Amino acid sequence: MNKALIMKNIDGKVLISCFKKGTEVVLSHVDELNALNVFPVPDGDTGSNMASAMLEACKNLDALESNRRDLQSVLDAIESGTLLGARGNSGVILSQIFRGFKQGTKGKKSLKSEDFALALKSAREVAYNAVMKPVEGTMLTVVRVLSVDSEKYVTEDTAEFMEKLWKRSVQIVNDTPRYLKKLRDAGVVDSGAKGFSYIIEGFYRSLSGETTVNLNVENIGTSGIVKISQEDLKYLYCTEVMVKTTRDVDIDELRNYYSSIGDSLILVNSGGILKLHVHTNTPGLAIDKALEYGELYKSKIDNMKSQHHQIINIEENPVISKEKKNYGIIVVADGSGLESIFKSLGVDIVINGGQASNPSTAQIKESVESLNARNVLIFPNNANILMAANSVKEMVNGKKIFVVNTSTIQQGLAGIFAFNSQMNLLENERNLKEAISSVRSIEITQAVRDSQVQDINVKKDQYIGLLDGNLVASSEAIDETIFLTLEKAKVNEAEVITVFYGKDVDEEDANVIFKEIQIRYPSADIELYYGGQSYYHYLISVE
Amino acid sequence: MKFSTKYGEVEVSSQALKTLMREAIVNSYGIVDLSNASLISTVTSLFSETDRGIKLVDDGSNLKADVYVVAEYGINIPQVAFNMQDAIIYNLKTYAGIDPQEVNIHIVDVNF
Repeated sequence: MNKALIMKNIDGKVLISCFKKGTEVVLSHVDELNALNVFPVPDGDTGSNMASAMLEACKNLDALESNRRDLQSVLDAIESGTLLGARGNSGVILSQIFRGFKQGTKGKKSLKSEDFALALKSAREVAYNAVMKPVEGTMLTVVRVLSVDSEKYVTEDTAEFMEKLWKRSVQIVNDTPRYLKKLRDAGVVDSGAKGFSYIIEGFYRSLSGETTVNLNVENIGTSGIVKISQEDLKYLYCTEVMVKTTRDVDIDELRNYYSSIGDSLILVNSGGILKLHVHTNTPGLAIDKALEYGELYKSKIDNMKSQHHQIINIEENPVISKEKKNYGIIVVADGSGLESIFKSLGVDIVINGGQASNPSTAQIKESVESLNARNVLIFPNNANILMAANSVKEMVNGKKIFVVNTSTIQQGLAGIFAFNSQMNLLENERNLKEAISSVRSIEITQAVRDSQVQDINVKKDQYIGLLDGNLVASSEAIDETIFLTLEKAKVNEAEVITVFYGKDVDEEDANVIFKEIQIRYPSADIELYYGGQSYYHYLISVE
Repeated sequence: MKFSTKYGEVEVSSQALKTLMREAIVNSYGIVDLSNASLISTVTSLFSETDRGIKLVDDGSNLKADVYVVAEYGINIPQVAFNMQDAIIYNLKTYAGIDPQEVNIHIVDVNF
């Protein structure tokens, strides 16, 4: 250990470092904490909830100006951040703990270990005050015991103090099943308590010199969630089993075995617990195999023909599938119809967003990271999103990211059609460019205010038609606008006209427009789809 | 709430349901008290029973609940309300097999 750090009292800067390290440790165990979540209800979100509170506080800490990093300002930032980011019971309790802790520092500028211990007492009091029936065997217990025992650990070396706190917190966590029957029954420790001990671990590691923090950690501690395949009653029995493992789990062997006797396999191995879910016709074999790994403590076999069986449905994103593909495609679109269309064309992820609401850079980054592909193509489909998409390029390692220059959904669709996963990037780039430049995008929406564009007078609430971003028509009647715009697009020379109607448009009205377009432009192929987009009543692509 | 089976009826009284709900409320973090509903001016006068903080309207097949509570200062009130709502619904579904039509949470006061 670096001698120069021994006498470090905890001031604002040190606390920032400790808190962020604590966040990193929690983040790297989110899946484990979620899997452990059985109390109060097994909704499996304790890890995510605690992470949310911590991350929101980290955002506040990052926003602190360099001359406002005194201890009290840092504590304020943590208090308000955890408050805002609090999700679930565990998030709310965490925010109260930090709130109480801050009160207990009584305005001090830096904390010695005895000051930290005093603040813990206040944290305990405030945390316990906020609930009618405090439950022991949870995060509250850890705070309570630490608030008492920390007095014994007081020493000049804050790192040594924190190490003792951390080790004690781990003991308390392991003790939690003693207090709560639900934990005993599930054979797990309390997830909130464990999460809190991870935060203290972070504080300890930061104080002992591990000051670099990486908040983009990979989740450790889960051995991979296997992709879920579609349900069909090929296999009759939904079998779920929880095993307290007494030996090392060979996840690959298990996966192979269970895939040979069934499907819809979910295997989670974390914290000494193996959770299995499989649809099989031989539930006995499934359980026998699980028994090889330890003691069975929970099992359930449902005949799925019965009405009360709940089919487990897991969202496609982000599932970590094991095969690394060459290309992953992310598209930004608004509208359930458009989403289905893109998905049917082989797009991996559709991020919801468009004119009315742009997705954040963080959302785009998350989507990129969740794809197991060497090259990722992003189709922003809107000029505003183009910038956010481009900035993600620098944020992600290990994958090549290409942002395709699409500023409309129509261009995005043309691009996806032109994309060929068998070809290399250069050829694709050329084809995409060509396809995008050959499509004209028409957008029909309502004007939000009066304006004058060139020689067109626009009144609020009139229907306006945009051709490749330029306003070319405005009228009280939506069909007039549509046809004026189509004329401007020289649609009589077009080969294909594709119309997408938005969620505010009646199917009947859309059909009427569709038929009229067919009558006026008989030489073109005209197609009508439900796009479901908000904001634009109609999106039309002309090729 | 009544369940019909071919052998007869199963009735779960409002009292039983309120007890289930109270368990969820009392265990909810951030809530420090239930408030006596009769102190609050009500829009509807449909009270099935007067019990502290919980109003149930149970027509035998649909359940609407209103919960009046006091929150602790310094917590994220909307989040606490959602957590409590979730916990109440979980209890009703898991232990009584009832899917409530509405569970409205009213934060009546904040405790300092």
